[in-house]
Amino acid sequence: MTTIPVNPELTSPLPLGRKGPSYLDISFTVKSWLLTLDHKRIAILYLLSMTALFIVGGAFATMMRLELTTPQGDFVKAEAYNKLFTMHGVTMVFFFLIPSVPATLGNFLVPLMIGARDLAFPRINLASWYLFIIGAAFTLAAMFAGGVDTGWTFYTPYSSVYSNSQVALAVVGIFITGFSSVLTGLNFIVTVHKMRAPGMTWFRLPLFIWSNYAAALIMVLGTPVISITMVLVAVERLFGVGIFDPANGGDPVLFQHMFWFYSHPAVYIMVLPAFGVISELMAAFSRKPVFGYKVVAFASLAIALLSFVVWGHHLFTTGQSVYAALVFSVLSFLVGIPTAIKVFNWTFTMYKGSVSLETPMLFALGFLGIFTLGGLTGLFLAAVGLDIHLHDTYFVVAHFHYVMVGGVVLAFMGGLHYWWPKITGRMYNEFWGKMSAILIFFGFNLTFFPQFILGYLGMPRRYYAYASEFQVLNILSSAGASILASGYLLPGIYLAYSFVKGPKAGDNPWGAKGLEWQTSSPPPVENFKKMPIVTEDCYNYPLVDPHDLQPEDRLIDSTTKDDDKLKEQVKDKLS
Amino acid sequence: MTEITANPAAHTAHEEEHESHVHTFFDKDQYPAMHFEDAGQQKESAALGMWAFLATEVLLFAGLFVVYAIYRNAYHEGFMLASHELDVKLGTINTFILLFSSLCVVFAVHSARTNNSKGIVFWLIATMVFGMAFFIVKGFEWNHDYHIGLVPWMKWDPAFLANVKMGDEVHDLNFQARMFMILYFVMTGTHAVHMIVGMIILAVLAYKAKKGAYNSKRYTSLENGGLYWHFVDIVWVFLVPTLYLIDLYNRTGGGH
Amino acid sequence: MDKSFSLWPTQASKQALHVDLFYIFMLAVTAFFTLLIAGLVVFFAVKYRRREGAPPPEKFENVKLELVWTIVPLLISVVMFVWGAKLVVASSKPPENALEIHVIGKQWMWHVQHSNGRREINELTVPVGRPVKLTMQSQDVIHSFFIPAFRCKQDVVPGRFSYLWFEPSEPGEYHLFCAEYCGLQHSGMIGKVKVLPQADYERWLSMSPAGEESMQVAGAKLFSQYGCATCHSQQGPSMAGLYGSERVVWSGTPDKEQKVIADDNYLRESILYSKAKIVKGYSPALMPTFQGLLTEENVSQLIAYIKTVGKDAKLGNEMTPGGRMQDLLPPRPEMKSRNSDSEKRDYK
Repeated sequence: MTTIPVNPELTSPLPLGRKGPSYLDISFTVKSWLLTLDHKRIAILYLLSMTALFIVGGAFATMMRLELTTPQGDFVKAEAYNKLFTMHGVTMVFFFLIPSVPATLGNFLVPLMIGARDLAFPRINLASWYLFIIGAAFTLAAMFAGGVDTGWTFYTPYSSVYSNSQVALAVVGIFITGFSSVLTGLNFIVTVHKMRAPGMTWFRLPLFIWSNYAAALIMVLGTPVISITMVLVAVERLFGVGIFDPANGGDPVLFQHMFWFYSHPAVYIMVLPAFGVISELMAAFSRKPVFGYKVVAFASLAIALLSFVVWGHHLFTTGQSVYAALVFSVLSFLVGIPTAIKVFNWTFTMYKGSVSLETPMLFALGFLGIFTLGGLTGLFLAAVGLDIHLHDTYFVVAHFHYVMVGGVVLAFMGGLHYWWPKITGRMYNEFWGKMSAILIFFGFNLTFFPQFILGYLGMPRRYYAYASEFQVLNILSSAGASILASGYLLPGIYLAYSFVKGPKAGDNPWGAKGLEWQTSSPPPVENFKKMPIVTEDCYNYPLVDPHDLQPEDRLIDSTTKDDDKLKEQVKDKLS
Repeated sequence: MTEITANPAAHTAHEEEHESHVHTFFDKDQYPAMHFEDAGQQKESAALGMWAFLATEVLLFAGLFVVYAIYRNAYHEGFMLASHELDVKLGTINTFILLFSSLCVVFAVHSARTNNSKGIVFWLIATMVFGMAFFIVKGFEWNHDYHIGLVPWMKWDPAFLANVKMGDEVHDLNFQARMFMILYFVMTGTHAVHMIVGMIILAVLAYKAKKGAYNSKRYTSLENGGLYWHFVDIVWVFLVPTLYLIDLYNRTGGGH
Repeated sequence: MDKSFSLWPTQASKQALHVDLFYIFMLAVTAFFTLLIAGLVVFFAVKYRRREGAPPPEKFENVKLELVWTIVPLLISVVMFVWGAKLVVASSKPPENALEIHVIGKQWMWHVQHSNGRREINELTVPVGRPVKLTMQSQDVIHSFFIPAFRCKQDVVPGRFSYLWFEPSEPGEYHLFCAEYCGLQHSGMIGKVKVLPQADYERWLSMSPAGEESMQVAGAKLFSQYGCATCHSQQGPSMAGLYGSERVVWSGTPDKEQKVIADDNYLRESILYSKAKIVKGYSPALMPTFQGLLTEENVSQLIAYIKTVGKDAKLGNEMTPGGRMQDLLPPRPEMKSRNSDSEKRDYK
């Protein structure tokens, strides 16, 4: 299937862009990078540091899959394996997945998409990156000082009393990183409320903004709870007093409640911004508005609110009362509804569209398939009767990798490729991009699909040695992991090459709608030459054959084609 | 709900081209800052940001209050016995100290509104004096707790359980009272950390006020600092009944 | 135990059948919707692909469709919830006539005690066709008692009793796993569930476990049965040539070293109260105390075995000592349960 590019004239200079240095070229000093207040540069800092942490977390995962090819412990022994899965979980969850989309693409795009010059609090934005780095440093220090072996969930009393590893250091790292997350969320909320360009009403906001806004709400309201929980664990470890230790009258299950009160919403912090990316991609590559825009927007908020009341489904086997289990079960099913609506809406966005299958769209379509299966297997775990058997088995591992890796990482990659020309001004190699998308899709499914079967067979999580009849499926999974790893490494190579030597991409290579495409690529420091005035809905693609597009067809007009009402309002304000 | 922020200055922003500059952390503040259209927008953003931040702080303490509530429900007896040992007098004194300090902050903000720079500095220093007084009283109280053996990880000597009937009961109550004291120190400790942060903020504000940074047109950061201080006070107002005043009528000892 | 590769776990209890039925229903729903979305994605991507001469994109809004895919998932969810809930509610109360067995989980073994006093380690022997109710306790961290073939699982939380019941329907041997991560040898906390026909079970229960064995053989059996070999080949000091040799040990605090001779008394103390003297360079938290688990007779058998262990056993890896505050603190009081029998929580 050959894809024909849209009209090449679409890459001509835009009225909101400027000639002159971009945010990348304006200064090359170390100071201008490390002390920058520019949201775009901070996004790049985040991108680089998170990529490094992703590689670290991925290396742990590789070693684990290597160990699991045989039923005995022959590559690593129990102690090392326990530290591997703990550090893999901690690194990936707290230092990659939670900040992945919001801190990179979100930081870069939120101001650009709503027509602002920067986030509301640039200094706080920079501070949040430094907190992230300090937190990561603590956690890496814990790794080098002997590792942590509690699992990323830090269940007490093992973590607070029995473990001999560097729990306190890791916990402090997570505590600090929590603040970074809070500050990012705070910035997004205020920016979306107060910094929108004239005419950018709530229902003209791109869905990427809606979902980041919803995720920001969770960051602000959820993170402090895990922060204080981690403080309590650290206090218990350092002072030897039992807040969660049953030997001192504590309740270990209370810790689990406190932990999941944040950590379940946290998976929506990961996945909501990813939803936003998918919305943008489906619209841009189908050249149509997202089907049921308002429904998708409100579904984001609904998911954010519901996410706070479902944490108990992680505790079905702890002996909580049947009534509590049933309440959490029904609420968990409810979260599935807005999610299902979104998936259908994305799919039907393509209906009667003009679909081109470039790399970002391949990632998006891969996301749709994988996320659907991931979401549906979540229903297995929401049903109390089935979760009793599946809890703490590989079924759970497979399910959350389907939503976190198949969901978040694919969306992140799709978004990164889609906005790469905007971020760098250059284009990557389309062939290798497609290869990467295909490798990741198939490698991922081969890695994690066997784990569903393993889970139902009853293979528990966190075993370095397992019963021999599970070996066949584990080998499949490990084979898939090697394909997946190569799929991840490819973008590292061709994107780096593109950044240095890629062909100039032009300001709007996809012919996409949205304010971020109305300024030059890479954008100037202040984003827009003049403040845009928004007069039409987002995704308002002209209903013509894309090959006949004229350059003026793709603009959100900035002062030439005003809607009269807006003009009146501006006039009133001025008089 | 379309919100349009436009004024003559904004209008020129639409028409004229912005200059590109490198912005770094130690740049001098402009007012309004480069990325805001006007002072009004900056003020509203700062206020909203502060309230959102206070929401996270509320959740932080809410976590502690939830842990407390659950154990209070499970360990009713031991909590009451341990609470009897706390010094209500000192707690009450501290409550009033903090309420007065909040009043001082209000006066400081009021001074800003009436362009009274000296007044701002005076009232902020008054607030800090009250804050120090709070710490001194708290220090005495913790010291007293230590001497009568109420610090679970340093000196735990639950003499007050002596008149409870012997056997398993004492063993259990001992755990329960310990849990109360642990939560007491964690909660008041977290509050004290917030107080210290608040004092630093007040000191910075006082320094800036002395240099004349605040006037009737521009006192957002002063107001936000004040909001934070009020929040810390309100947390204390919730802590006092939670820790000191449970079962006030049956107190035997305590309050010496 | 079925060691062959399969895609479906064995069904060996009454619950398993109900759970599997529900699972098949869920699989059908999942397969249908996954294939539907995948099919639509591929179909739309091909049919509406951008090409010369394709019709221009059309705006498309349809409230009816929206309602369909809101209401249909909602109804399906209700069915799933009710079915899943029924499974739990139906099995929440164990039958009156259930056989009572006591289970203790500790790092890293399952210790089972039958009502007539018969004990097992990492094995659970139960009769077929009769409901069995387990009353479980943990001595240290959270464990989770998991028998995949029975589709049942229950976390064993320290400081309280946990309950689990099942009704085996097929004689045979099945896996027993610990499902909640519980530390170093979590993967070694596994065992067998033996389901015997009623008559065999009665015979088994009345039989005394002690056969005609020499002390060494019995000791060797105990050594493997209690999983001593799991540690005392890798993380722990090796047993090879241990008896009678001189050892450098810590007692209490890491800075107090003393030299002792590994004689009978030393071995007995190390087995029953493992924390008393720790060989220099090893972590004190690794070895559980066996006090109350082993009879004096067992200890003698073990020592007899250790005496005979030759010098060909594998030498262990060196471990770095763990630095935990707790190890420097005075010993913690004996754990006791916080809920007396009179106020036992409702099962589940």
